[in-house]
Amino acid sequence: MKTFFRLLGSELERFSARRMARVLLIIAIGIGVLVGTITFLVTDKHSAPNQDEFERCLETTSSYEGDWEGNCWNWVDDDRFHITWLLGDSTEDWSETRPSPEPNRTEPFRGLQGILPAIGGILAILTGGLIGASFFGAEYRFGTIEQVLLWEPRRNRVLLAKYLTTFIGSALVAIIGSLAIAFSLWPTALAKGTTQGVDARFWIDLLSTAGRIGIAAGLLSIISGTVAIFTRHTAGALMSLLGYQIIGGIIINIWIKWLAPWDPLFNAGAFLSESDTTKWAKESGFGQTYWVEVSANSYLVAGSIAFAIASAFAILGFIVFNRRDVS
Amino acid sequence: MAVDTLDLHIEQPGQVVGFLGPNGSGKTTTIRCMLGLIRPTAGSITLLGSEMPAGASLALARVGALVENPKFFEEFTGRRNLRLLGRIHGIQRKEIDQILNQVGLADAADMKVRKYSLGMKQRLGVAATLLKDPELLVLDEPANGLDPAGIVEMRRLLRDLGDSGKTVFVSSHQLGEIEQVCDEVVIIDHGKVVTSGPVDKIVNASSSNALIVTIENTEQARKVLEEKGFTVSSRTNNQIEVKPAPENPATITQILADAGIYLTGLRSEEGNLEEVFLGLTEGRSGDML
Repeated sequence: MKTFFRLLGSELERFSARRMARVLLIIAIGIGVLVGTITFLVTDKHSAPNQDEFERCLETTSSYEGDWEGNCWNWVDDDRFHITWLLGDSTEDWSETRPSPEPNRTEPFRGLQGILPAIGGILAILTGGLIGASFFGAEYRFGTIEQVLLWEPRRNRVLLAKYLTTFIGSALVAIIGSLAIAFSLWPTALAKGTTQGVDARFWIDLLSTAGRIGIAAGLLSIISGTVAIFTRHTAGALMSLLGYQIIGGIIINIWIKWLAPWDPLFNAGAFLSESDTTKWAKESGFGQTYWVEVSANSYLVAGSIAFAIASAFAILGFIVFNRRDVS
Repeated sequence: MAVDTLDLHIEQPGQVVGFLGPNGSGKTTTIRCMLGLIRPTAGSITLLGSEMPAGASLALARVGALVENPKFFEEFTGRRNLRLLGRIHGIQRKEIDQILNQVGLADAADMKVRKYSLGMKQRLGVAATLLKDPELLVLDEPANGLDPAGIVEMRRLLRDLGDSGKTVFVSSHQLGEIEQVCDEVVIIDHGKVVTSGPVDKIVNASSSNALIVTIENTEQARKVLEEKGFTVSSRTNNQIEVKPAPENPATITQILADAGIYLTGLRSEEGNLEEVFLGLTEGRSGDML
């Protein structure tokens, strides 16, 4: 066990010095700064709702029989930039379409409408895909995997340490990146909008969203890392993943729709954005049969599916890594 | 098939064993099999008493190995690369510094590996093999890329390691170096051992058993010596090769002097590893690894 932790420490140190991880972290922070700056520049300052002003406006308007809605609505409408928006604020309810023993579940569908889950999804794909593929691909490219195996020939330990490292590393980069994006919006909220609604619940939601983005990135890094073990090449792994994403996506959505709810990216996306996954269901009506999109799983089930898929990839990785010669 | 029916035993500790073979003869494949990096399709390998690759964790804890080119993280310093490896076995910083000093990299220890010359990388590779204080060192082309001074240092290092009781298994294409530093040698070709044993024994066994005579009148000398039952062949304008060499070389001097011919030089034709190698591998030395 002690040797394993030493091995893990060595892998983590190696990871921390990787240029790819640093570059991605800088890109994530850069995206945050860009989003924050653009949001700041395009956001107008609005007044907070004011009941007294509204009533005064109504009185004044009614005295000359004017259009009170047109004149006074700005005193009750809250047009300010709310920092709480970054977590999403949709009220669309998909619960009715969900086949569930609790047909009247009321939690709202929180789709990719918040900026953090939306950008967090991209961040998770970028960090997970690139870090996983490059961390494993580089070992084969530079032949360093051979050096490590001459020091610790128990391949299961080596691979477990590498999977843990890529999971932890990708998750940390994604979490730091997503928090950077979240905090980049703070100046806009303070100067032109409001931080109203920022309470303990908000912080818990923010941290859990960032945490889910991190977990999604970690799971994707295991999948891309395993593909890099198969291809023994970073670019090969990335091309395979991209090919799957483009060609596989088209094939799944056109010809094998039943497979869509099992897509790892789809499930990881639903998990990090705390949204339901959807699926296509056949319905009949007006003498026709057509496809409708209905709820498939909750975000926790989606997360579990993503975890199961990543685990299946990891198991395949262990089998291949153990059986394959290192040359 | 890279290696076929290769039967190799190294039982005596503290020896420096040379491993030779032309390019593609199966040297590196054999080394990789020994170290558990490749699984042989048939046969068995026992390394320091452990079946490979099943017993790799036991065996490799006592083995330092460098296979082909040293593989390090180019963006890390030499010291950091060694520290990352050493950390797995709990090797302390002080020991790392000692090893770096031993291989002559103390001054370049904090330089990034990508700035190292090939020779420096090679030394770092050797340093990595020494970190575990191994009983057995397996070195694949350790002198590759070294300058002449580096080669001499490497030779000294290998000899010192052998003298200190460690077994060194070294593959090299520098036959002269192998001949100077190794106690035993194994030559393989087409994946099979063609000869093995103590270096001097192998060299002597295949030496030509001839005397080289330097003389003004080679034709007259040839006639006289052939009359006495020797086989004579010309080497250069004033040199002839006489076979078989008599037990006492003075016999040749005596025969020629009796015929009024006086030689200006006489030496025995000694074999060397290069000749043995070329003879055994059908001269495929041009593409040796």
